[in-house]
Amino acid sequence: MKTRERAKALSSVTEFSFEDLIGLVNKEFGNPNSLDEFVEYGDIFVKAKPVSPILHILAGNTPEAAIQSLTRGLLIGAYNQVKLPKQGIKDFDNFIKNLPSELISLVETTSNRKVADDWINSASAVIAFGSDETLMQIAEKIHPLQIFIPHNHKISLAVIDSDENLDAAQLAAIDIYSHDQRGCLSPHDIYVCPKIKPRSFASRLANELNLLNKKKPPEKRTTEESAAIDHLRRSYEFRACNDTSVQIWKSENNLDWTVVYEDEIQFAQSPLGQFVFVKPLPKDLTKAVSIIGESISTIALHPFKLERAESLILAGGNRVCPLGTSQKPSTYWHHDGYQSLAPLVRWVNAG
Amino acid sequence: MKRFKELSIRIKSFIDDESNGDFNDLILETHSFQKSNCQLINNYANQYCQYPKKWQEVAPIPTEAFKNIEKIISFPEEHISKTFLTSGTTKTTRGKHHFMDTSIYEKSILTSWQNLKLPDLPVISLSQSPTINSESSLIHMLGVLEAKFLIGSSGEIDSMKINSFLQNSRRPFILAGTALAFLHLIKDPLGIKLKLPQGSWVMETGGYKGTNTKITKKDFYSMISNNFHLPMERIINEYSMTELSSQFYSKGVDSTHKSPHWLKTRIVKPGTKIEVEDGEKGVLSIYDLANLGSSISIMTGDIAIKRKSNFELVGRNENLEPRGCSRATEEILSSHN
Repeated sequence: MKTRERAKALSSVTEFSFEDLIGLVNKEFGNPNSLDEFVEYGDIFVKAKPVSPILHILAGNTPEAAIQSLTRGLLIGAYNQVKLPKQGIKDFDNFIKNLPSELISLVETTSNRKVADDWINSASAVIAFGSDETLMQIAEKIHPLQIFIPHNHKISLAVIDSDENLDAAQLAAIDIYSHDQRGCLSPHDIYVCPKIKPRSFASRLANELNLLNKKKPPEKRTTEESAAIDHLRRSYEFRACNDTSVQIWKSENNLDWTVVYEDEIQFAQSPLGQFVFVKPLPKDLTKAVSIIGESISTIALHPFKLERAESLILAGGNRVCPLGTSQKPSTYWHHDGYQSLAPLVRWVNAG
Repeated sequence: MKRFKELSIRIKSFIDDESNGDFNDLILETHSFQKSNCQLINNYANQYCQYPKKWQEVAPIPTEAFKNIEKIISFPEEHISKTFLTSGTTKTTRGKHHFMDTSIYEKSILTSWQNLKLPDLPVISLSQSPTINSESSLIHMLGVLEAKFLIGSSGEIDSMKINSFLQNSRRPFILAGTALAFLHLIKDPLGIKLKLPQGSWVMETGGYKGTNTKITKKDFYSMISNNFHLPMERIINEYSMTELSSQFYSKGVDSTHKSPHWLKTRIVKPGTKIEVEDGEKGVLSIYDLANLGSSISIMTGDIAIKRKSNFELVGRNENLEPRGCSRATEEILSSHN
């Protein structure tokens, strides 16, 4: 299959358009045909050759990232081995099932750790998602000639500077609700400009989350996930009873969603599962989030302005996106700051 | 104060003999007393359990409440005579459990030990003494059990010294310590590897989740068993926390945690007040009558499986902020590594 055929096939089973997939090849390789034939490159000709096989070691809490990772491997025409978590990844499994046969033949999956360990030895590139500890363990098995792209746990937040159209709560709710807030891209905390009354915003956000969850409640969570939400919720319920600087809104008789407003500006970590903090936006955001500075992935911004993105990125992270799109990164984004396709090819030179 | 003393006498009498009172009545009376004397508990109870009719309806206080600046105490602040601190780092807020006097606490420790038929042997502890570390409830408990303490003020585990001490012991004893202290000792190339005197026991406590150590309980017990040449059935786990005044114990890998009659549990479905069915997992809440001076009901955040009136501890909830007695020892050890 040529690049365009693969892009067409992938666009039919993912949310990526054909134009964006070809556009990505063009952006990263300078020519959309680079993978298929020699193209001009200065005074020589070059062709991109995919490193193969690529091993993707996936985490259960990031279905979107898993699909993107394999999509990239398939787009460049590499052979892909995929280590899935024991419990599988529902959305990812569906994606694999829908792949056309020409692409299915480029994918092999396992949830067996021993098999994956063998694959690590023979992989040309290893893309891994997981905790720092897991990634350290994998890194110890990598040899110097292998490409290793680690994606550790990251944390995201949102900043709302103004809300002229009164749509910020609805957009923020989308970011919290999507994938039940799993993964690294959904905000834990939403910093709201004091001018637009953060406490009122929290109440509106609670309404929006309530509406979304009434339409479709979250899928079953593990006892561990639920216990973490339960414990933090009870802690804030206790605080809210005794401290007027804290207020809590929550789904009744279940743990579907929780919104906590607090005056305290210091970043608070959510257990995820649609548990979000709303805080007043301080003058010095960098200081308020310094505890997670190196772990920031995404800052969702409303309204989205490039000049503001310039200043926000100083707080940390490598992505500022419009509020409501946290969990839907562009095809062109650089996950954790890495180029998407370029590290996965070697160039052949002619001339 | 008069009411406090009255309740204290009745609770102690109940601890001595179950037929001297009724658990349900005592919990409800103590809860009512705590509500009247602790504004924090009063505000929470008014919101979540205004008129409990049985002990199970008393809303348990989350352990995080002990980190409040305002204190969880049901007696005047000037009467605080003892404070135990939860483990933590300089970056985390430590919970505080204050006592007017520790006599119920101490009675609870000693009576549990007798009632649950735990071995009547000398205790050797892989920890500092209460004189050196007066903030640790675990160390205080071991002090009440008249343990001999093997770690000095430096906090360092001197494997050679411990080895030599244990090798010279001829009579059986209970070797007690946090799970992390045992792991440290076993993994130390200079650490102990010896047969404890016939009839000895090991008592581990504190857990090791939330740290960098990932090991199953079975593997851990197997390591202890091999290292000290004693059967796994002779390994006791003590489960408690700074916020409590009583302890649970289990023996061996698969046994459930048992409690004395003044200590009961409810394992509830997260997000509800509903108790799980027998054999199901849920979050562990504890009702401890010995907690007269603070809160008789505690929500731990830990996960357990209900086994009739007992429970099987699945583990400290990894998603929570790391806490537990083992952490303090780990920090002591880390700072000297």
